[in-house]
Amino acid sequence: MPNPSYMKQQINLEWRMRGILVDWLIEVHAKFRLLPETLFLCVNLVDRFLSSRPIGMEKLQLVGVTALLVASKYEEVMAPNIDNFIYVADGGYTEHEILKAERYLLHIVGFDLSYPNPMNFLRRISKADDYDIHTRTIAKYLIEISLVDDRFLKYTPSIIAAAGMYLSRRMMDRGPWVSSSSSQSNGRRPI
Amino acid sequence: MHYSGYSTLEIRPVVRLMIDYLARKEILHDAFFKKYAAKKYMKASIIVREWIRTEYSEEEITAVMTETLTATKTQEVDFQEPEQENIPEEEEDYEDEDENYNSDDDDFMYADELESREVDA
Repeated sequence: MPNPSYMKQQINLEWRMRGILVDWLIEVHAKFRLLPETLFLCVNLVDRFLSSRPIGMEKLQLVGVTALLVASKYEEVMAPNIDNFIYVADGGYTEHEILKAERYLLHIVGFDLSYPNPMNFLRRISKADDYDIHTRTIAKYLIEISLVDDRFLKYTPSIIAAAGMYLSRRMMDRGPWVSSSSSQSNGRRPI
Repeated sequence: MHYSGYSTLEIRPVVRLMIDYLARKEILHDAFFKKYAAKKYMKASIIVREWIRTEYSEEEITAVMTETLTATKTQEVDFQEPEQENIPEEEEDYEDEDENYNSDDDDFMYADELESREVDA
Protein backbone atom coordinates (compact mmCIF):
# COMPACT_ATOMS: atom_id res chain seq x y z
CA MET A 1 0.00 0.00 0.00
CA PRO A 2 1.20 3.54 -0.70
CA ASN A 3 2.80 5.72 1.89
CA PRO A 4 0.23 8.45 2.79
CA SER A 5 2.92 11.11 3.10
CA TYR A 6 5.10 10.20 0.15
CA MET A 7 4.98 13.75 -1.21
CA LYS A 8 7.61 14.73 1.33
CA GLN A 9 10.15 12.76 -0.69
CA GLN A 10 8.95 14.09 -4.02
CA ILE A 11 10.90 17.30 -4.29
CA ASN A 12 9.55 18.18 -7.74
CA LEU A 13 5.91 17.39 -7.06
CA GLU A 14 3.01 18.63 -4.96
CA TRP A 15 -0.27 17.04 -3.94
CA ARG A 16 -2.07 19.49 -6.15
CA MET A 17 -0.34 17.99 -9.20
CA ARG A 18 -1.41 14.53 -8.18
CA GLY A 19 -4.98 15.83 -8.05
CA ILE A 20 -4.69 17.21 -11.57
CA LEU A 21 -3.18 13.96 -12.82
CA VAL A 22 -5.92 11.83 -11.26
CA ASP A 23 -8.59 14.14 -12.65
CA TRP A 24 -7.06 13.68 -16.09
CA LEU A 25 -6.90 9.91 -15.60
CA ILE A 26 -10.60 9.89 -14.70
CA GLU A 27 -11.32 11.70 -17.94
CA VAL A 28 -9.26 9.31 -20.07
CA HIS A 29 -10.69 6.33 -18.22
CA ALA A 30 -14.24 7.51 -19.01
CA LYS A 31 -13.32 8.17 -22.63
CA PHE A 32 -12.01 4.62 -23.02
CA ARG A 33 -15.08 3.26 -21.25
CA LEU A 34 -13.08 1.14 -18.86
CA LEU A 35 -14.24 -0.66 -15.73
CA PRO A 36 -14.28 1.16 -12.38
CA GLU A 37 -11.78 -1.36 -11.02
CA THR A 38 -9.24 -0.29 -13.62
CA LEU A 39 -9.32 3.29 -12.41
CA PHE A 40 -8.81 2.35 -8.78
CA LEU A 41 -5.96 -0.02 -9.57
CA CYS A 42 -4.39 2.62 -11.80
CA VAL A 43 -4.35 5.27 -9.09
CA ASN A 44 -3.09 2.73 -6.59
CA LEU A 45 -0.18 1.92 -8.92
CA VAL A 46 0.64 5.61 -9.35
CA ASP A 47 0.71 6.11 -5.59
CA ARG A 48 2.75 3.03 -4.90
CA PHE A 49 5.24 3.97 -7.56
CA LEU A 50 5.53 7.52 -6.28
CA SER A 51 5.94 6.18 -2.74
CA SER A 52 9.23 4.61 -3.67
CA ARG A 53 10.68 6.63 -6.56
CA PRO A 54 11.13 10.38 -6.73
CA ILE A 55 10.42 11.66 -10.23
CA GLY A 56 10.48 14.94 -12.15
CA MET A 57 7.33 16.84 -12.95
CA GLU A 58 7.62 16.07 -16.68
CA LYS A 59 7.46 12.34 -15.95
CA LEU A 60 4.31 12.48 -13.86
CA GLN A 61 1.96 12.07 -16.78
CA LEU A 62 4.07 9.19 -18.06
CA VAL A 63 3.61 7.41 -14.73
CA GLY A 64 -0.12 8.03 -14.94
CA VAL A 65 -0.56 6.83 -18.51
CA THR A 66 1.62 3.78 -17.87
CA ALA A 67 -0.31 2.87 -14.74
CA LEU A 68 -3.54 3.09 -16.73
CA LEU A 69 -2.06 0.83 -19.40
CA VAL A 70 -0.95 -1.75 -16.85
CA ALA A 71 -4.23 -1.56 -14.91
CA SER A 72 -6.33 -2.04 -18.03
CA LYS A 73 -4.28 -5.02 -19.10
CA TYR A 74 -4.92 -6.53 -15.70
CA GLU A 75 -8.61 -5.72 -15.29
CA GLU A 76 -10.15 -5.35 -18.71
CA VAL A 77 -11.45 -8.01 -21.05
CA MET A 78 -10.32 -5.87 -23.95
CA ALA A 79 -7.51 -3.51 -23.04
CA PRO A 80 -7.10 -0.49 -25.33
CA ASN A 81 -4.15 -0.56 -27.72
CA ILE A 82 -1.02 1.29 -26.68
CA ASP A 83 -1.55 3.72 -29.59
CA ASN A 84 -4.60 5.04 -27.75
CA PHE A 85 -2.49 5.78 -24.71
CA ILE A 86 0.09 7.59 -26.79
CA TYR A 87 -2.71 9.58 -28.39
CA VAL A 88 -4.35 10.70 -25.14
CA ALA A 89 -1.00 11.84 -23.80
CA ASP A 90 -0.85 14.17 -26.84
CA GLY A 91 2.12 12.29 -28.25
CA GLY A 92 4.22 13.53 -25.35
CA TYR A 93 5.73 10.09 -24.94
CA THR A 94 6.81 7.50 -27.50
CA GLU A 95 5.75 3.87 -27.52
CA HIS A 96 9.27 2.94 -26.51
CA GLU A 97 9.16 5.27 -23.51
CA ILE A 98 5.81 3.92 -22.33
CA LEU A 99 6.90 0.30 -22.66
CA LYS A 100 10.09 1.03 -20.81
CA ALA A 101 8.13 2.82 -18.11
CA GLU A 102 5.78 -0.15 -17.95
CA ARG A 103 8.65 -2.53 -17.16
CA TYR A 104 10.05 -0.12 -14.61
CA LEU A 105 6.69 0.44 -12.92
CA LEU A 106 6.01 -3.29 -12.68
CA HIS A 107 9.45 -3.83 -11.25
CA ILE A 108 8.96 -1.13 -8.60
CA VAL A 109 5.59 -2.44 -7.47
CA GLY A 110 7.04 -5.96 -7.40
CA PHE A 111 4.61 -7.23 -10.05
CA ASP A 112 1.97 -7.14 -7.36
CA LEU A 113 -1.23 -5.99 -9.04
CA SER A 114 -3.72 -7.52 -6.65
CA TYR A 115 -5.20 -4.50 -5.00
CA PRO A 116 -8.24 -4.85 -2.69
CA ASN A 117 -10.43 -2.59 -4.74
CA PRO A 118 -13.03 -0.40 -2.97
CA MET A 119 -15.43 -1.54 -5.68
CA ASN A 120 -15.22 -5.10 -4.38
CA PHE A 121 -16.25 -3.90 -0.96
CA LEU A 122 -19.01 -1.71 -2.35
CA ARG A 123 -20.45 -4.71 -4.14
CA ARG A 124 -20.64 -6.58 -0.88
CA ILE A 125 -22.09 -3.69 1.12
CA SER A 126 -24.66 -3.05 -1.62
CA LYS A 127 -26.26 -6.27 -0.61
CA ALA A 128 -27.49 -4.53 2.49
CA ASP A 129 -29.92 -2.35 0.55
CA ASP A 130 -30.77 -4.86 -2.15
CA TYR A 131 -28.46 -3.23 -4.70
CA ASP A 132 -30.44 -0.02 -4.84
CA ILE A 133 -29.10 1.72 -7.92
CA HIS A 134 -29.46 5.25 -6.54
CA THR A 135 -27.49 4.85 -3.35
CA ARG A 136 -24.99 2.76 -5.27
CA THR A 137 -24.30 5.36 -7.90
CA ILE A 138 -24.01 8.13 -5.34
CA ALA A 139 -21.72 5.91 -3.28
CA LYS A 140 -19.52 5.31 -6.32
CA TYR A 141 -19.16 9.04 -6.77
CA LEU A 142 -18.32 9.52 -3.09
CA ILE A 143 -15.81 6.70 -3.14
CA GLU A 144 -14.09 8.16 -6.18
CA ILE A 145 -13.44 11.31 -4.16
CA SER A 146 -10.84 9.22 -2.37
CA LEU A 147 -8.89 9.09 -5.62
CA VAL A 148 -8.63 12.80 -6.34
CA ASP A 149 -8.18 13.84 -2.71
CA ASP A 150 -4.85 12.71 -1.25
CA ARG A 151 -6.07 12.90 2.34
CA PHE A 152 -7.78 9.55 1.83
CA LEU A 153 -4.51 7.73 1.20
CA LYS A 154 -4.15 6.62 4.78
CA TYR A 155 -7.52 4.88 4.83
CA THR A 156 -8.10 1.34 3.66
CA PRO A 157 -10.31 0.63 0.62
CA SER A 158 -12.86 -1.16 2.78
CA ILE A 159 -13.42 1.74 5.14
CA ILE A 160 -13.67 4.18 2.23
CA ALA A 161 -16.31 1.99 0.62
CA ALA A 162 -18.21 1.78 3.89
CA ALA A 163 -18.05 5.55 4.38
CA GLY A 164 -19.26 6.17 0.81
CA MET A 165 -22.19 3.87 1.27
CA TYR A 166 -23.05 5.30 4.66
CA LEU A 167 -23.07 8.89 3.42
CA SER A 168 -24.93 7.95 0.27
CA ARG A 169 -27.66 6.30 2.29
CA ARG A 170 -27.94 9.35 4.47
CA MET A 171 -28.31 11.54 1.41
CA MET A 172 -30.99 9.36 -0.11
CA ASP A 173 -32.98 8.72 3.00
CA ARG A 174 -33.36 12.34 3.76
CA GLY A 175 -36.38 12.80 1.43
CA PRO A 176 -39.52 13.27 3.51
CA TRP A 177 -37.56 13.50 6.70
CA VAL A 178 -35.44 16.57 6.08
CA SER A 179 -38.20 19.14 5.84
CA SER A 180 -39.71 18.22 9.16
CA SER A 181 -36.88 17.38 11.51
CA SER A 182 -33.42 18.04 10.13
CA SER A 183 -33.90 21.63 9.01
CA GLN A 184 -35.43 22.48 12.36
CA SER A 185 -32.72 20.95 14.47
CA ASN A 186 -30.41 23.84 15.10
CA GLY A 187 -27.93 21.66 16.95
CA ARG A 188 -25.00 20.10 15.19
CA ARG A 189 -25.84 17.18 13.00
CA PRO A 190 -23.61 14.20 13.43
CA ILE A 191 -21.12 13.88 10.62
CA MET B 1 -23.16 -0.64 10.29
CA HIS B 2 -24.79 -3.14 7.97
CA TYR B 3 -22.63 -5.44 5.92
CA SER B 4 -19.37 -3.54 5.96
CA GLY B 5 -18.27 -4.63 9.42
CA TYR B 6 -17.40 -1.08 10.45
CA SER B 7 -19.08 0.96 13.13
CA THR B 8 -20.33 4.48 12.52
CA LEU B 9 -17.63 5.71 14.83
CA GLU B 10 -14.92 4.14 12.72
CA ILE B 11 -16.09 5.56 9.42
CA ARG B 12 -16.82 9.02 10.78
CA PRO B 13 -13.41 10.58 9.93
CA VAL B 14 -13.68 9.32 6.35
CA VAL B 15 -17.23 10.64 6.00
CA ARG B 16 -16.02 13.98 7.33
CA LEU B 17 -13.31 14.17 4.70
CA MET B 18 -15.84 13.45 1.97
CA ILE B 19 -18.15 16.19 3.20
CA ASP B 20 -15.23 18.55 3.49
CA TYR B 21 -14.25 17.87 -0.11
CA LEU B 22 -17.81 18.32 -1.32
CA ALA B 23 -18.50 21.49 0.62
CA ARG B 24 -15.83 23.52 -1.18
CA LYS B 25 -17.28 26.44 -3.07
CA GLU B 26 -15.26 25.75 -6.19
CA ILE B 27 -15.24 22.48 -8.07
CA LEU B 28 -11.73 21.18 -7.60
CA HIS B 29 -11.66 18.47 -10.24
CA ASP B 30 -13.55 19.38 -13.34
CA ALA B 31 -13.45 16.13 -15.33
CA PHE B 32 -14.43 14.15 -12.26
CA PHE B 33 -17.43 16.39 -11.62
CA LYS B 34 -18.50 16.30 -15.28
CA LYS B 35 -18.29 12.54 -15.47
CA TYR B 36 -20.78 12.17 -12.66
CA ALA B 37 -22.96 15.02 -13.88
CA ALA B 38 -23.99 12.86 -16.85
CA LYS B 39 -27.29 11.01 -16.99
CA LYS B 40 -25.41 7.74 -17.07
CA TYR B 41 -24.40 8.41 -13.48
CA MET B 42 -27.78 9.86 -12.57
CA LYS B 43 -26.24 13.30 -12.16
CA ALA B 44 -24.73 12.09 -8.91
CA SER B 45 -22.29 14.97 -8.57
CA ILE B 46 -25.07 17.52 -9.01
CA ILE B 47 -27.42 15.77 -6.61
CA VAL B 48 -24.68 15.53 -4.02
CA ARG B 49 -23.76 19.18 -4.43
CA GLU B 50 -27.35 20.20 -3.87
CA TRP B 51 -27.62 18.02 -0.83
CA ILE B 52 -24.48 19.49 0.67
CA ARG B 53 -25.78 23.00 0.03
CA THR B 54 -28.95 22.34 1.93
CA GLU B 55 -27.27 20.54 4.80
CA TYR B 56 -24.05 22.37 5.49
CA SER B 57 -22.44 25.73 5.02
CA GLU B 58 -18.75 25.89 4.23
CA GLU B 59 -18.05 27.66 7.51
CA GLU B 60 -19.77 24.89 9.39
CA ILE B 61 -17.58 22.30 7.70
CA THR B 62 -14.40 24.22 8.35
CA ALA B 63 -15.33 24.50 11.99
CA VAL B 64 -15.98 20.79 12.30
CA MET B 65 -12.84 19.88 10.40
CA THR B 66 -10.64 22.14 12.48
CA GLU B 67 -12.11 20.63 15.59
CA THR B 68 -11.38 17.12 14.37
CA LEU B 69 -7.89 17.99 13.32
CA THR B 70 -6.86 19.57 16.56
CA ALA B 71 -8.39 16.69 18.43
CA THR B 72 -6.61 13.98 16.50
CA LYS B 73 -3.43 15.94 15.78
CA THR B 74 -3.11 14.59 12.28
CA GLN B 75 -1.04 16.21 9.59
CA GLU B 76 -3.98 17.26 7.49
CA VAL B 77 -3.79 20.88 8.52
CA ASP B 78 -1.59 21.57 5.51
CA PHE B 79 -4.36 20.72 3.16
CA GLN B 80 -7.06 22.88 4.69
CA GLU B 81 -6.81 25.58 2.06
CA PRO B 82 -7.41 24.42 -1.48
CA GLU B 83 -5.15 25.97 -4.07
CA GLN B 84 -6.90 28.45 -6.25
CA GLU B 85 -4.98 27.55 -9.41
CA ASN B 86 -6.62 24.21 -9.36
CA ILE B 87 -9.88 25.61 -10.64
CA PRO B 88 -10.56 24.13 -14.03
CA GLU B 89 -10.72 26.43 -17.00
CA GLU B 90 -13.43 26.88 -19.58
CA GLU B 91 -16.11 24.25 -19.81
CA GLU B 92 -16.34 24.37 -23.61
CA ASP B 93 -13.25 22.21 -23.97
CA TYR B 94 -15.19 19.12 -23.09
CA GLU B 95 -18.45 19.66 -24.83
CA ASP B 96 -17.92 18.00 -28.16
CA GLU B 97 -15.49 15.32 -27.08
CA ASP B 98 -17.57 12.59 -25.62
CA GLU B 99 -21.24 11.84 -25.45
CA ASN B 100 -20.70 10.94 -21.83
CA TYR B 101 -20.25 14.56 -21.17
CA ASN B 102 -22.52 16.34 -23.56
CA SER B 103 -25.32 13.84 -23.86
CA ASP B 104 -27.56 16.10 -21.85
CA ASP B 105 -27.07 19.78 -22.28
CA ASP B 106 -29.39 20.63 -19.46
CA ASP B 107 -26.75 19.24 -17.12
CA PHE B 108 -24.50 22.06 -18.02
CA MET B 109 -27.17 24.64 -17.71
CA TYR B 110 -27.86 23.20 -14.34
CA ALA B 111 -24.21 23.38 -13.41
CA ASP B 112 -24.11 27.00 -14.51
CA GLU B 113 -27.09 27.73 -12.41
CA LEU B 114 -25.36 26.19 -9.43
CA GLU B 115 -22.36 28.33 -10.00
CA SER B 116 -24.28 31.55 -10.30
CA ARG B 117 -25.98 30.70 -7.07
CA GLU B 118 -22.64 30.37 -5.40
CA VAL B 119 -21.74 33.89 -6.39
CA ASP B 120 -24.83 35.13 -4.64
CA ALA B 121 -24.12 33.21 -1.49
